[in-house]
Amino acid sequence: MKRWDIKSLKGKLIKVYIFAIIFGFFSVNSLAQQNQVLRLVVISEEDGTPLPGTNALIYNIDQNQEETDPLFYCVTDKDGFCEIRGLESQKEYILKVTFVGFKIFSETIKLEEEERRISRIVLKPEIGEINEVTVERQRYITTGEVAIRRISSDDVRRIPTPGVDGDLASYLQTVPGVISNGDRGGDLFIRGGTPDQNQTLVDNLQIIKPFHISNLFSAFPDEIIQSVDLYAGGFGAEYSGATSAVIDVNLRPGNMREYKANISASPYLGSFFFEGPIKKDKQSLLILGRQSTIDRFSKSIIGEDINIEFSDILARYSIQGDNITCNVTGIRTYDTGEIAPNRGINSTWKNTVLGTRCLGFDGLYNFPVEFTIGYTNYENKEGTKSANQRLSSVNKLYFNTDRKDEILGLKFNYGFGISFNNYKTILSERFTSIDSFERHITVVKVYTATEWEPTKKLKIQPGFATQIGSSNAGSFEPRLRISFRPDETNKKEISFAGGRYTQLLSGINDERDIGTVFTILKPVKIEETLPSAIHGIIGYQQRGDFFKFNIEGYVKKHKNISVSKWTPEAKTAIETALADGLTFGFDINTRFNKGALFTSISYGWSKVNYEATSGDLGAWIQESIFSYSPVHDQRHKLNIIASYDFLGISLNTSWEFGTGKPYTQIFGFDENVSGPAENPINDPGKTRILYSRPYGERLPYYHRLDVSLGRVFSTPNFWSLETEVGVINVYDRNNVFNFDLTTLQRVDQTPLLPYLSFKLQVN
Amino acid sequence: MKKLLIILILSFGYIGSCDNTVNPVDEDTGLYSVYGVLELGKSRNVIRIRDLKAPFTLEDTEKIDAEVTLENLEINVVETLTRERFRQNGVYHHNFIVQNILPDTGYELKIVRSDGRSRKLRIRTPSITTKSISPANRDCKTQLEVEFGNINGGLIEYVLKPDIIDPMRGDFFRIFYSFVRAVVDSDVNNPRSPLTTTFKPIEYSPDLNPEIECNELGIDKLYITYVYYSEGLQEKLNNPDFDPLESIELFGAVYVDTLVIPFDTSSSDKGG
Repeated sequence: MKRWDIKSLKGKLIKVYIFAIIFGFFSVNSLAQQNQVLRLVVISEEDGTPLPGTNALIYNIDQNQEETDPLFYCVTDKDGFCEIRGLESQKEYILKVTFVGFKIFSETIKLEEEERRISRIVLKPEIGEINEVTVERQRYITTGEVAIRRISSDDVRRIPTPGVDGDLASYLQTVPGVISNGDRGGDLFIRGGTPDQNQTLVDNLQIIKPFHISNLFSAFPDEIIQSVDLYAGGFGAEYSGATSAVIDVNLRPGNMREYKANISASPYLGSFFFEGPIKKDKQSLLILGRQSTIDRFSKSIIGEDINIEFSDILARYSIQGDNITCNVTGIRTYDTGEIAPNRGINSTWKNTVLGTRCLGFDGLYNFPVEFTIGYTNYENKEGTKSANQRLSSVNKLYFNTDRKDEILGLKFNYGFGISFNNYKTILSERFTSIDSFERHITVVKVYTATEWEPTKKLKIQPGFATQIGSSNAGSFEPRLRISFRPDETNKKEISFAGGRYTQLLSGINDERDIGTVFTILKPVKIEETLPSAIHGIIGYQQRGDFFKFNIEGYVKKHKNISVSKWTPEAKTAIETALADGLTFGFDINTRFNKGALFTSISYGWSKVNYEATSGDLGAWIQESIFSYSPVHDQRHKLNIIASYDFLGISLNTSWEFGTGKPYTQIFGFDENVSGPAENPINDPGKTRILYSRPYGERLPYYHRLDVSLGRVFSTPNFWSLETEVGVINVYDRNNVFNFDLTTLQRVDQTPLLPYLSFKLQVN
Repeated sequence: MKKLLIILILSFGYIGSCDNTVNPVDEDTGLYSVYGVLELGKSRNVIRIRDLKAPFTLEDTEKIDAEVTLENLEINVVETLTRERFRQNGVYHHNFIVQNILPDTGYELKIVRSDGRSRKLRIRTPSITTKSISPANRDCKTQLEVEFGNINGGLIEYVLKPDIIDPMRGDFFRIFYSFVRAVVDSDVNNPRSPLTTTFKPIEYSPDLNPEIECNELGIDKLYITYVYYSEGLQEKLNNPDFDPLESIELFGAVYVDTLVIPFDTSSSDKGG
């Protein structure tokens, strides 16, 4: 009875909270205090596009800028936007805007009483080598970065990939704590979280599985990436719907000043690209299309078939108004092929995303407003080439809006969203405990987060989020982020991030068999307990002029993970059970970047442990509660990346080493003659392959070296030819992918794969 | 710098030389699967033995690395079993032949691989049961008590399968009186105590069975086949749960006999 009361009270509180947020959203303008606001939109003179991460600094007119800290500062966001509050009216200040590779912008400003000024600042590129002073200027960056990996297009470009461009998928696999099953399948496990526990956003639009069937590629080559934030856990209240990690991809808008186009070709894929202004400095269009070709060339290059095919097309229409920035984004991806070769099982998945994200910062508003309207479709299916045997899809239509406000001197971010979801699954024999279903779910989510700086050294960011589905009670998701800067600069920082995370759906697949990636996306019913997780991450970060070092320790505790039951007989039909997961580990990362040299060394240690009631899991278990290491429990992972530019040539190398992941051995090949009508004298018996104790053995170590050399040949008449020659798996290591129980064959990952790629560009 | 380079080269060399093989088969657990139910009184019994680690290919199954012996634990006589093989479905199957076995005797089946690893299974064969029926020579609907004596554990399963076919009603009639399976389990604490069971030779149920007079049956004896299983065997045969270690062996012995129940067919009493 008492438990019911608490639940009821919690439900009521959540409803009140949602009402308060939505009511506050529409009424806040009248409550907000009025003062002077300087809003900045920083763009590049080169292409007219916004510059995220720019420092805008405010000094007193007579302040020594070299030796003292600015009075105010802000860092531009993905739209090149930031704002500064608290400036006195009728007082002159110096505004300085700095960004690596660009000349410093400086001007004197004076705001009128109650003025909300919008300044569009154009930064000019600095000609020649970027000197040390320029780097030093890049001081004020966002803080509290524990568990966040901010990835730039340069980072992505440095990873050798068998095409001219780098790719986010290849980059992510160099991050400690990010584990893949091998070189195919498109599934990434992040700090113990499974692919269905991760969420990928593209400009606030959800894309379910943007990673291609070849794990070298995703829908995001470096050419279109502005920045990517990888939240390996401990993410803030603005993100909900995932219990492990968030990959927040920000695409760059098309060039606002010039037309550019290119086509590229490599043995792995071909692509076309176009960008240019529709209305100079106001509107632009960007289109990218790629199609894999490796299935046609693999036989002649590596002597074996790679029966996979993938493609993607992305289009982006961007508007930069005087007081609004909008991006309309459309993405379509398609993947098909055999994950485990020669098995005859074809996996296919498709993503379709279409939506708009806008940021309005008109002077009429006391604070900027951001909203997103989007549609996401995902479908994955599996079967033979001639017939699909199972299909699972989701259609989502959603609206999200985010705002800021200041109450009692505290800055608040808050927002709400509503989504209409349709889940459909058609199954044949494989999942015996799940019937085909179709369900419509409406989900409302709200969040609030604030920032409190009791001292200059300490920043505390608490937040709270909740999700209510039409078939779920509200979730309770408090979040907290704390950063402590002992010397009050960004050079040293100790930070903590944590919280509770919930998702309203489960991803169900046969994780024992990495030869299949088919996943059922199943909304959790009201009588079922929601999958949830608690994260705790603590990190120390030190930045120098040319280096960055950080170490993080983390714990994630997952509840209600759908796992497949351990039927001893290897067969396609599976049943599912629920397990709890505990992941803990640490990562160490050092980066050095000076002049033409870049190096990064990352090491990660982690342990992933699942626990379940043995009766739920099935055979082989004697204990009442059984714990085991799932397939993504990789203990050690070391990545070394080195890049050097010389004589106009870019040399990129990436080496990865990982200890073996668990797999399930074969207990035996048996012919069962125990049936009542079977006689050993002449009856051969029923053939069966028996699994051994699940995940009882580990695969051998994995390591691979990839190298590429790239050079751009320019001609005076606007043409340029970018070439790249490289080798994936330089020393031809036979890295095992899996041992296929169906074909009883070892399947290896990509052998030595040389490539030569071209990109012909017209400016 | 040179030292660092040497360390790096050595590290790469070490890592490069790491074992890269994958053994898909668990060599540590399980050796052979065994399927054989020996029948008392039969001069030739067969035990199927399979090397669990041999894939389903002709080449891998051509030979079996196993020496199979059966030891009579009462007199410590060890017999090496002869092997027969036959080929079907693209693989060879290996059977081992057992001659006569004795009732109420302990046996140990031992399978030894050439590397010395072995598997042992022990059974105690069932005894030759005695049986008594009371009351004797009553009508077919009188409840009888059957006592099985000379028991040494295990259980008895019998099937009431009256071989009665009404010429007028044909097989439909037979179905209603068929396949009543019953099990009598021995007392764990006193395995040698007699087993007792009660039943009516012809069970009348108003919902299911057509009413029939004993003298309409056309027979004066009922033959009931019963199987006396060695301890644990019947449970394994009928266990739907799969235990990886238990379910790859089915080794035991049975004694099969028939219970003859004569009855008086002169009665026309319809009561039951």
